[in-house]
Amino acid sequence: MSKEMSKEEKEAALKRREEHKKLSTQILQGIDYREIATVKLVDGGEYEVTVHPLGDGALMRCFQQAGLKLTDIGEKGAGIEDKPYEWMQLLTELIVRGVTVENGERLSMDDVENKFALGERAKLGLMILKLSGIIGEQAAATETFRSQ
Amino acid sequence: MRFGMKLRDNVQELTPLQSAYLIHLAVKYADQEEAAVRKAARRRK
Repeated sequence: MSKEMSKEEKEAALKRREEHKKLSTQILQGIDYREIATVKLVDGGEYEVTVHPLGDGALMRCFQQAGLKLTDIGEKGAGIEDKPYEWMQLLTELIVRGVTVENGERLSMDDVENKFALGERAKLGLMILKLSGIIGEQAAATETFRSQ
Repeated sequence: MRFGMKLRDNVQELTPLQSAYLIHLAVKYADQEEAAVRKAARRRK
């Protein structure tokens, strides 16, 4: 077996390294990790918001408020199709706790329920779940993570 | 008791991603420890 890496192997290694870099930042920063996202409102405007992951306690409270269990949500957010009301409630709870606007203020329930354009609630809610490590490849990726 | 309460609060502040990583590390080090113990036992024989 040659020691030289093929081009594909090199690309895969670089991609993995990039993913791990982000993953290590997320693990080290925890709930202080921030990502910027844009949200469309019903007035047609687009606004920048800051999204951050939630801790176990806050996530538990979101799921409890929505009447859902952590196990109700599958790998990619699947398994909640038969509970649309609870799902929307969960997304609202997540956004109220995990999204801030420019001056660090949180959004109100009313903002999320009545001012977000169609599909925006799911976009931001899923982003919070992904950043927290509930869904997506992030949690599974810790298996491949080196400890340095 | 106070320490316990503080620890509980801190654990609630961990994201599931951090919890998953801690579990991954715990399993990894437990495996390494077990392997080291087995190796030492083999050497003693």
